[in-house]
Amino acid sequence: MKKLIGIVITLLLATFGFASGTEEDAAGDVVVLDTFVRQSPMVSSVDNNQFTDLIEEKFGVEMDFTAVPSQGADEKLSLLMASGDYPSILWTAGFDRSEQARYGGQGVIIPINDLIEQYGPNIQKRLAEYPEVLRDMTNPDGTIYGLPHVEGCYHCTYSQKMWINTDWLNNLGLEMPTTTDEFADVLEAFKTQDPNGNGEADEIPLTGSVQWWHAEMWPYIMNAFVPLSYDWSQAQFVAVEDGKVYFAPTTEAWREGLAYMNGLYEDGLIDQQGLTQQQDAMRGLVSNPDEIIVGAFTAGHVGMGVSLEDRERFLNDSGDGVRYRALPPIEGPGGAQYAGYFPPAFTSISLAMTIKATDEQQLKMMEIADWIWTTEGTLTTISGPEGVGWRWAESGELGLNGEPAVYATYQHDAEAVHNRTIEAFPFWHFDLFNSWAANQDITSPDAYERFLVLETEQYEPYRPEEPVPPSLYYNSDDAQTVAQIQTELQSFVDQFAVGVISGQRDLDSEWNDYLAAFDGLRLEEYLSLVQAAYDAQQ
Amino acid sequence: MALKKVPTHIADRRTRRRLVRKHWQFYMFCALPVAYLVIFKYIPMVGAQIAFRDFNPILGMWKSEWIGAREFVRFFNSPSFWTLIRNTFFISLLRLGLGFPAPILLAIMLNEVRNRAFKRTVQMVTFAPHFISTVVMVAVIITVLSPRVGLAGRVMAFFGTAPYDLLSVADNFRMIFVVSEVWQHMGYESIIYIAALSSVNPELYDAAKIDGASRLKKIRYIDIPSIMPTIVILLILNFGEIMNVGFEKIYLMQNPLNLATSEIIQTYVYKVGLINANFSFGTAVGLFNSVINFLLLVAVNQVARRISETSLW
Amino acid sequence: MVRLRKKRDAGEGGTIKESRDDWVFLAVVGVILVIVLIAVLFPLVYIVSSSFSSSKAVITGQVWLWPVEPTLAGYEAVLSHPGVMRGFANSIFYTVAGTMVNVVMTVLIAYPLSRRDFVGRGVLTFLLVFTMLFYGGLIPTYLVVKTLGMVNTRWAMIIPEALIVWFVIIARTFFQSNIPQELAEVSEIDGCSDARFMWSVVLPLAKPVIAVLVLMYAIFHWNAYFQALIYLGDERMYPLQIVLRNILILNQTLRNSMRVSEQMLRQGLADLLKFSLIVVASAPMLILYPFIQRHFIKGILIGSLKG
Repeated sequence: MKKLIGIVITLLLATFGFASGTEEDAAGDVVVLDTFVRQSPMVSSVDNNQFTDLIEEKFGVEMDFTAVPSQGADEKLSLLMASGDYPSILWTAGFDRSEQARYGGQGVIIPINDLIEQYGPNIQKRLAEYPEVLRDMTNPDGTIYGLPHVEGCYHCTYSQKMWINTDWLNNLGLEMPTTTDEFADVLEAFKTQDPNGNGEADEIPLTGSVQWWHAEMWPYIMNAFVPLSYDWSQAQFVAVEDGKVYFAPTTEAWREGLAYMNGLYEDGLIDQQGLTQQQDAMRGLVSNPDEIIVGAFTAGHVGMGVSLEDRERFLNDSGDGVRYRALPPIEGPGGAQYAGYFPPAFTSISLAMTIKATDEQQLKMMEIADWIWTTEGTLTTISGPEGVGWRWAESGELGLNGEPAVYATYQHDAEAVHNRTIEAFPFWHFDLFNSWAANQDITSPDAYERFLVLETEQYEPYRPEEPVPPSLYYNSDDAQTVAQIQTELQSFVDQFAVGVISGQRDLDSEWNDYLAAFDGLRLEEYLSLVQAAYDAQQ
Repeated sequence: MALKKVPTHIADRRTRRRLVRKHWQFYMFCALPVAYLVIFKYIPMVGAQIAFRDFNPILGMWKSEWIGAREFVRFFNSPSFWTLIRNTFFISLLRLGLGFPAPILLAIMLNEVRNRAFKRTVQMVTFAPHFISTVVMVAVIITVLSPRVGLAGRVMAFFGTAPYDLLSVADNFRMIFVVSEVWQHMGYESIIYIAALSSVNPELYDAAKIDGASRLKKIRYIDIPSIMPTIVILLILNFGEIMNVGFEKIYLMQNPLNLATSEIIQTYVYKVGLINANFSFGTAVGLFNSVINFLLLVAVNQVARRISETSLW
Repeated sequence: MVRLRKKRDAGEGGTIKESRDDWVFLAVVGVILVIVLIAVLFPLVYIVSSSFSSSKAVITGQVWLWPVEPTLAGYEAVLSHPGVMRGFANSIFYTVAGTMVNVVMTVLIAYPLSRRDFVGRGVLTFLLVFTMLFYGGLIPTYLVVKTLGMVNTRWAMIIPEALIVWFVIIARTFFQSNIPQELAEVSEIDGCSDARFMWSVVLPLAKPVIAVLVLMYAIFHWNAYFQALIYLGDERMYPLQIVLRNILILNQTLRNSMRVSEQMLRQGLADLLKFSLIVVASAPMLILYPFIQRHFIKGILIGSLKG
């Protein structure tokens, strides 16, 4: 017994040094940048990292990272800010307008307008080329608190897509449907005419998923009735007509939409579980190895249903195209035909500097940021050092947009983790993004992004005329009210919509009660706040 | 040997002082744990006032604007307030009702088993699920309940009903959640009871055997009374946790069709907070939960005091 | 309801025969336990089988009881992910060190609280339980830890959770029920001090509860995730759970957009690792369990009461 105690005490003492963590001394006149950064699980280490090494060498700095796993980073950052334990530099802050107002107002983060003016020539150039970025990142009072992460993902702008099985259309001699009636007919044909030719009625005409990127089935279809750009984590359900903000779920058109979808459901054309199943289940269906059973599914991009590696499933039977193609928005009985529109917003800043940053640190950081916003800097940031992650395009190579490409990246598919980059704030806007060299043959595995661009172009004409800006700005009091009401509204609208579609609730008898309930949910108050914010941004 | 009677409550002041002096070493032992409590639990409690202030980290706690009960009012005024309370309570009580006896029964049954190998196997197997992380656990639940590929679907097909997703019916949610909780944790929770049962004086068993008592009688008159203090204490403690249903699993199991019964206080607060970080709101709701927990704990403790010898204090 | 029948057994000592009622009872118990065993075993087998199956087979719902398209790819990926092995080592350290601290602290306070002649036990118990219900809040707690200089050190994983009140109460209950007051009185007469008494008499008798405490605290530390998240900032100190969750939880919207290809790589990683990670992460506790189990199955001898 005594011996055990002795061992315990020795161990405890021995752990003292181990437990105190490691401290590193900074060398001479190297500027140390204590920085907060989010760490993706794909990155094996931020300290032992090619990008970090490059930056340190190039700018004579030492990056002292506080790396937080991306899962939980928001909470951790909030805590650091609130407790006063934040570092000098916030590398991937992700502060939206309200947080900028709050922290900026409290003096915790500092304006960088002057720094950009004096030390950021490249940044200024970019902002001149893309005034919308400048507009977004500037607060109403003219202060700029940081640099956003600019990534012009074109296909993300119209990511509320329906993907339809082109082989089945061919097998049954059908065209891509363009109206809700045609759509219903096509789904019916999928269900009854055995398009996968195996003699069994195992086809699932339409399925989807929940809590994922645009995987819900009903928003896409609802766009044939009202404009709806739906995001499962924060749905606004508002649309604009003639400058007036209105609430889509209380309109007659919404009701018609629900009735239509309930009809599809009753006919067995909408997958029962598509309304509630999780991502894995949907993927399992679409990628079913034995038989192809899914006719159509909704997803942000088709890879959510079928993996790129699964060439057999990904490509169609004849191998000359992709099996599931994007179905452009369909037209409803009232003539509505909208695409869910999600324009990029740059109101959230990634790089920020706190009041703890010394002049020296601010200067160095601005130098680094200025370089990151050059083309080479951005390309290095997104893929790794030149020659390892990217290279200049050779003549003859074409980009995502079909025009001559500017750069190409190296494929590194085999590895599970890498250390070529860390999360940062590149300036990878549409033009640069789209001049990414891509195999123009869309049946090739590395042509995926190009494929997505092509599919997205079909959605472009159906953008709503008066879109709701992606991030409306509210002052901090209103923001909390909006947040709370919106959560309640979404919960209510979602439940009713899915309940009606699945037949659990009866549309006709419950519609009036549904409408009446919105008073209790403070809809009017919500709309007036949204309207005010919308007007302010025009 | 003559037993000295020790009073349960020491009323006499002089006796008290004498006992304190006599047991000075005990007080020494408690010093370290008490220091821990003060430093890490009581000092931070001063910070609970954040619920009543508009917290600004630069100004700090004491200078942030006092907003009184604004955040509490915001919470109480939410349209879903009563739904949230109802859902949270129902799920919690159901879990108590099913999940509290299960480990006890398991421990008692295991205690009866004579075959050591079987006993250890069952213990080991029932213990394992406790470690499954919530994410995987929910994935397993969803797979099992899947009408297409899961057990539920096959069972339904066997009995002739068209398979449907059990999780899509709001009324089922509570049961599914609670059953999965019991399944996952009963092995782990039974450990305490198993340990308690193992401390029962074997002479009592021998005496019972000689008297010809059946196993059931033995359980009723020996086992259960011996672990009764443990049972009562754990029951009281459980009531003190009644508002803490546990966020993650519920959140992952929610879908639009079961929200009516699956939206609980914690998931609601999370969603509201997702849109912008509001510390005061979260703290206020947390405080509300704590008060409810506290009142219940005290109440149950009082009841326990009156009807049994065991109580928390 | 089984009626009691008095039955004299055949002989004194030796094996005592069960009555017929008891056989029925045992049979019922056995059947129930077997059902429980299967009910619990099935999903566990599913998880283990999935960990040895290709991720594609798992997603498409082909895995039932046996691995489909058997592969070690999941385990390879787990063991080669640098964060995982590092996290594993860290977790072991936190668990061992933390549990030692915990058990000592718990016993130190639980035994005195169990004594009826310990003045102030009611108040102290109340103070303990109060902390279980009312939480000071994340920020103030963080500030305390920070003031003590423990933020971003490994101490932060050990000291701030040095006591779990729930377990203290359990230990106290055990002491109350199983360490009779008479023992204390006897030793008092023998001139034994409280400290010596605890060391030489209580501790040996407390093996079952100490075993339970070790197990429960070990599990607590092993699964700890939140403390690591808020107090640690250096990737070298992360425990396994942080790494695990970072890989597995993917459907949260990130503030920065994620490239589609990156998204799919991440999804692929999660698919591959999900089940094998669970097996690897749970293995140490499952291995620990049988060793601890021995100590609270055996029962204690109360021979010291005699004479």
